[in-house]
Amino acid sequence: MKSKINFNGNEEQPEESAAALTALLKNYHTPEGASPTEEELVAFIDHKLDDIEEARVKSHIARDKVVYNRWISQVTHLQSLEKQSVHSRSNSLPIFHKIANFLNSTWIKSAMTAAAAGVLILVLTPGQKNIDDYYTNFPMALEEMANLGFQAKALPFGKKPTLIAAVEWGVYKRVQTVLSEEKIRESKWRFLTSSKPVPTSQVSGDMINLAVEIGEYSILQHTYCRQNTIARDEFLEATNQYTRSLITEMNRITVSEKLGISFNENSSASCKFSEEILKLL
Amino acid sequence: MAIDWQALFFENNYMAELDRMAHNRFYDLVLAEEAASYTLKCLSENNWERLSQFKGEAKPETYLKVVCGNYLEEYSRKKFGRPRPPKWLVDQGPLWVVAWKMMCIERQLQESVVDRLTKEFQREKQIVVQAIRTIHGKLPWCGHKHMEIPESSLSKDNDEEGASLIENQEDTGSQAFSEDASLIESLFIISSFLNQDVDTHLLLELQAKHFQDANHLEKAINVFHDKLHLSDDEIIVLRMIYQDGFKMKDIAQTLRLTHYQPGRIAKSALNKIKSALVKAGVDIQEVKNLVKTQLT
Repeated sequence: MKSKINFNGNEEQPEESAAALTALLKNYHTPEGASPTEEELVAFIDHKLDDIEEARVKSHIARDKVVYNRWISQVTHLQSLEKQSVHSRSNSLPIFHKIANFLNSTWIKSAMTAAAAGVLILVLTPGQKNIDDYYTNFPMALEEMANLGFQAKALPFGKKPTLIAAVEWGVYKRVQTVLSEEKIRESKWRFLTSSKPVPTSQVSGDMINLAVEIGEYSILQHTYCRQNTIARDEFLEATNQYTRSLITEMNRITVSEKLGISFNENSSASCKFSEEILKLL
Repeated sequence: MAIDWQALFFENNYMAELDRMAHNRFYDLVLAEEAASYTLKCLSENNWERLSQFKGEAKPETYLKVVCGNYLEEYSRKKFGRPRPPKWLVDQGPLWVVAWKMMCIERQLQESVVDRLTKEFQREKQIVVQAIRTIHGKLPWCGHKHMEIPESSLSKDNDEEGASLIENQEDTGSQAFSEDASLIESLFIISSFLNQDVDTHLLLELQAKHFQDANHLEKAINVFHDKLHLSDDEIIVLRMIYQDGFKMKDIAQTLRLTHYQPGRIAKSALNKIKSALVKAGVDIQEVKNLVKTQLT
């Protein structure tokens, strides 16, 4: 049997661990005072509470397992985000080098250039490579690509009407998460043909979702429409109904919130949809 | 306190943050997208009403991140059901509950769970691996796609509208699945957790047998608990070290302590514990060897 357990990079006696864990089995009485709210726990992490409140919240964290669990979930969640953020920043230079290489050789070139100008006009590089070809030539590991996505999304959000920004976001989101044509087929088609409803424009929250969805869907459709392949026909056929639903929902958006374009519901599924949307951005 | 949440969300690129959170939470691309959409929908509904409970006590940015995290969990509950971990597992701390949920309920691959919990959440790998081994030993169905998840481990989340995210926490506390968990059973888990080179499955098979002579130990430990008085800081630091596998530097950072303070606090707590054990006449070696003695 191993005589020691290494918990924190230090050699520790198992007896100590056993003693500590046994002590922690104790059922403490819940301390007095109101149980902390979610915001108070966040404020405790931020050290924004006064001394009295901090002592109260700390006491609940220490002696009420449910509160401790809530607090530790927040701590690990925020630490994880922070760690990724640091990782992302520390990798920014090599990533942008890779972006530069990538831009010189792939279809994403025009999209990234447009992003820099604040205007997105996606034009696929001529030639008949499919997305798998681009992905094969893409020099990054998957996890690096995830970082690239968030580095590259330097769009002027907030300076445009919210819905346009949301559409734009959808375009970027899809551009940067499309890993391979096969992946698109597996994920997006499944996504579209599952029970997932088209977001409804009747609810303000869903209106933004609808706009993001339109952006994502537009660039996906645009990608297929540039190809003269069976995949394109398959895609359009499979998503015909979905396109129509999106158009219907778009037409329900109130005039003041409209994206500035109207569709004939009979437009049905065609490459026109994505072309018109992308022209807006 | 009036915060323009919409502006905060869009101007600070929180959608990117939300996507990243969702992809980290759910490795499956489709699930992540659905979860992010669900979160965005819930947040922005009725002019961001759900964030109106914010009183200005915390930083809005931190609060928003936490709320987003809660909604991703809410999505998981709606998708997979409300997890109801057994009480013996809850007693071991949040790390065990998280590992159980990812592995047994969401059926993520074991390697992926270890990787995420150690790399992203900075837990000690040894603790994570051992916890997973013990869970597997206790719950043979866990992670097997062809074995059904017992109904007792899940309940459907039907509160479609009433799901206030703030109160909507996991069932990891007093409401946890009330499988009988005696003090001795918890000690057994601790013991099997520490006896790392012993086959966990074999130990667990012997679980029923070894309680026979354990009553005296249970009584002694109850006395020990009565005599033990730890401060809030000591309890928190001990939990973070021994139950959640946090590293000292992360504990110091979280609690805004100097780098040497968590070690001192833990040492002080351990001295108190040893003293209380002596007073109660508990031999901790007996706890540690609780299972092993049954094998000889």
